[in-house]
Amino acid sequence: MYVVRMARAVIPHMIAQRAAAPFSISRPSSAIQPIAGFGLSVATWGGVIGYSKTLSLEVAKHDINVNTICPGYVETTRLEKVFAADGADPTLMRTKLEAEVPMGRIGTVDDIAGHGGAAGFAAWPLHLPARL
Amino acid sequence: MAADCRRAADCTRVVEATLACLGGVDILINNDGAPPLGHLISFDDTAWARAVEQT
Repeated sequence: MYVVRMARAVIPHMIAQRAAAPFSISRPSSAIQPIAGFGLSVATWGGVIGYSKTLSLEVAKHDINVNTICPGYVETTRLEKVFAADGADPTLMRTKLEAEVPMGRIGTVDDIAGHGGAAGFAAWPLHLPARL
Repeated sequence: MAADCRRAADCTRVVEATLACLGGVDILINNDGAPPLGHLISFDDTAWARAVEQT
């Protein structure tokens, strides 16, 4: 719900400023790559994707970009819990998930920092100085 | 500044402070934590409501 609240609070100011770029970042399990045990994330962030797409249609006329980034599996303590969920062999589970990734490996937080930075740069209005 | 995104008042406070300090908002990045893990049928209404608030 905070995504909705933040967009509602910020977008009127962006419209007044003319040409700005909000974007939402989602996560691996969000709707497009469900993982058993991640149901709350899958369901709620699936809603955020729909919200963001609809919002993008409604504010595009004000030159506001709304983008959602959906990273794949990322090496975190949360993913480690998945590896060991329901008594599974963590090594076998890791191998199974890695096989689903074209690059054959689990992503890292540095991968995401790089993509997030790139996306932020891409969304940045060209006429404004970069100050991230 | 510290704020809890699950609280509407904190969301408002973050935006108001940003406008007061910077005079506007050029970009908004929504990135928070995540709801608890577990099987879907194990979550009650409270857990779902908290998950929605956090999203």
